Amino acid sequence: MRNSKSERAGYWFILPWLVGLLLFTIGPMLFSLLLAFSKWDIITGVQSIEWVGLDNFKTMFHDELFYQSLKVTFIFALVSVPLYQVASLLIALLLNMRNKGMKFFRLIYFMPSIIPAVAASMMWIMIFNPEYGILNRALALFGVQGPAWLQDPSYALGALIVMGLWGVGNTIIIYLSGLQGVPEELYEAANLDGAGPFQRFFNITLPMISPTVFFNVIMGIIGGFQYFTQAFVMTNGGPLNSTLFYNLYLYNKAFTDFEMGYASALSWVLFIIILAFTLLVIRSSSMWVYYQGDNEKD
Amino acid sequence: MKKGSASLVMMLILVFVLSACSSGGSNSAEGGKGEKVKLTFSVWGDVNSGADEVKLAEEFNAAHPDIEVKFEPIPSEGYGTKLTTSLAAGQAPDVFLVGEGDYYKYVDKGVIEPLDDYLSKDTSFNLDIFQKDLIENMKIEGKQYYLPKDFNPLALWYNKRMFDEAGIPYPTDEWTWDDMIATAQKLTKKDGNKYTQFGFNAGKWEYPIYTYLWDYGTDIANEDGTAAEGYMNSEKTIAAMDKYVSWSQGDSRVSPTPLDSETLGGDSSMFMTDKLAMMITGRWIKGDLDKSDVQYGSALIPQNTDGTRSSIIASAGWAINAAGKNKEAAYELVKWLSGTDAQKLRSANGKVLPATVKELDEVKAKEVADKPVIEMMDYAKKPVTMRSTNGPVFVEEFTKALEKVLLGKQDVKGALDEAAKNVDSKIK
Repeated sequence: MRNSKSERAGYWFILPWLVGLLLFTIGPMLFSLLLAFSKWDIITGVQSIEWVGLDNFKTMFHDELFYQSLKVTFIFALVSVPLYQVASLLIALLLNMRNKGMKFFRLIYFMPSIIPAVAASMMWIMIFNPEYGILNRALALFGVQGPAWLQDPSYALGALIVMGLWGVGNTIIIYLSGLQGVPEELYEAANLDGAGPFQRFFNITLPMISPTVFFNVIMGIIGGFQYFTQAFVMTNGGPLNSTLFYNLYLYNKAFTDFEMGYASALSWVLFIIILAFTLLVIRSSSMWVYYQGDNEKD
Repeated sequence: MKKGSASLVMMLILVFVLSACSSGGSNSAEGGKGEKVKLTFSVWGDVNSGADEVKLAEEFNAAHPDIEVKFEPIPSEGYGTKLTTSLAAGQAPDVFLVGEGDYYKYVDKGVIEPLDDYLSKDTSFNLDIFQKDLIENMKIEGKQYYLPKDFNPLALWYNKRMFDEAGIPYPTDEWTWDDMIATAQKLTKKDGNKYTQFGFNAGKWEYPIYTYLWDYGTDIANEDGTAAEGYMNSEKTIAAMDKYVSWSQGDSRVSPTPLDSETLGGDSSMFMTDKLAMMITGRWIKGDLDKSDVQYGSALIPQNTDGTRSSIIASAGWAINAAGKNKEAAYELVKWLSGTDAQKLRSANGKVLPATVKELDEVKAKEVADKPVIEMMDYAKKPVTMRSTNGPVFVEEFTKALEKVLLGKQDVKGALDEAAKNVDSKIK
């Protein structure tokens, strides 16, 4: 009660954000939930929305491309999430060393993250060019004939996963800040006890930055399942649907085939999948995430 | 971009809802005395290519004191999406341009106003001024929905320098497909085991394939686009496609595989850099070719041994938004944009071919380079996308099958059998 006045002021302050949330997030979400049970071709306007019950979801069961896009997306997420996390943590560890010119290296590793995804994709198309791309030219130096990365259905998805490694700058930065928050005295104490570098890493560093890992894993999962731009620009789902990511399929359904109802149903299924995986990670977090403040309660 | 399309879909939906709510109040401006009728119209393409349209809009405004028209070009890349979403939101332009592949689709959705009533009331304007085939293409189920902006028949384009270098005579009117492939063979060269140039491009683009299939007396669909079984996988189609894909397969290929063309930079840039000797494509390619220093000529698309020859007229038609508020005025605008003066203006420097008979005859009389292209009009037929609302399904499955074949994942018969089955189950 005593706070009611300042509370009210607080609501005024968050009002712009709240309005935005209601209008541009909650509102459209509710509308798309309605559409998920409807048929709508967009062109003919809102009056042509037709209620079809669960039809969209039934269609999914028989939709070959739906399964294909799920498969592609799951493979991508299952490989890329662990790969990117380990890679960015390793790079962050390197960048956390106190060497001369470290700022320069930090800059180098972060730089790709500020390049727009489309521009980066165009560049990677050239890198992946089977004949003239620098990747295959580099491989040729070792006598390896590189594959047609983006034109061969067995390599295209792998190529996109490899390419993603280049853009982990954001994750690196977050790990780096996590690493810098680990108190120095813990390492000093461990050194006195004769702990080696691996022991220090697994017994001090990893537990201390586990909240950061937790955050990055969740963001990684969400990002992985929502992968879109690069596939849209570089392969458009091909060759032979080998890079037909879920979001790309959803987009095609909505804006190429004009099946907005079906696309909305797809988006809700994706939402539930992401939610399930995120909850799984959150539930498991009590087993492996360590918060410094917590031990006082124990 | 990370948030991806799920949130994009949601955003767009909201925009529709909001605009649908608000559009009710904004049209009160009409009817007031001295108030001008406001119109907008859109085309795809970059601003430069719209220069003629800007001029036409200015002239239209000067000639019609009671109407004020505004030209709003849309970049080619997002044209379809932009148009669709604005149609949904009730914010679409009064007049817009549609490509031949989409003629059926938009009419089917009921967003295009038929022009017949306006035309029959209008004694000052007669469709006879236009090329008959072109006008026919813009008619759907007996009704006139579009009026022509410009058109581009498919023709055979050849690289003169490559022919000269090999000492081979240019394509002739009598050429059969076999003649062309035999010549393509001579123009395909290897350096070691790497191809350095190709004679022809038999890719997966369906338009040239249609012309070949038609010459063989077959098609991927029946006439009204309701059946694929027995058409897409008929014996004739399979035999023809076996041959067509063989041109871009194996060690004696004369046409780049998808991988080759990726490696060498894509078909049109290969043509411009003297790495591709012949290609079948529409006249729109001319704009790009003229910017490069390639020396090219055009010829008739080869015929079958029995003299059958086919082409497709790619075209762009003006359409009136069926939900527009000033359709009478919009009709005036469409007339203006497709009429004789507009055709003259656009074709003045040879950029496009005029859609009107008289002006085209004039071009024919003095143009040498464009003569075969214009002649190809007489052989034009309608692809399935211009015959049926099911068209896109046929194209999608056919292209997918072709992709599998070209990547060596399946044989022609297997892939086409499967595609035909898929189409029929989808369009039922």
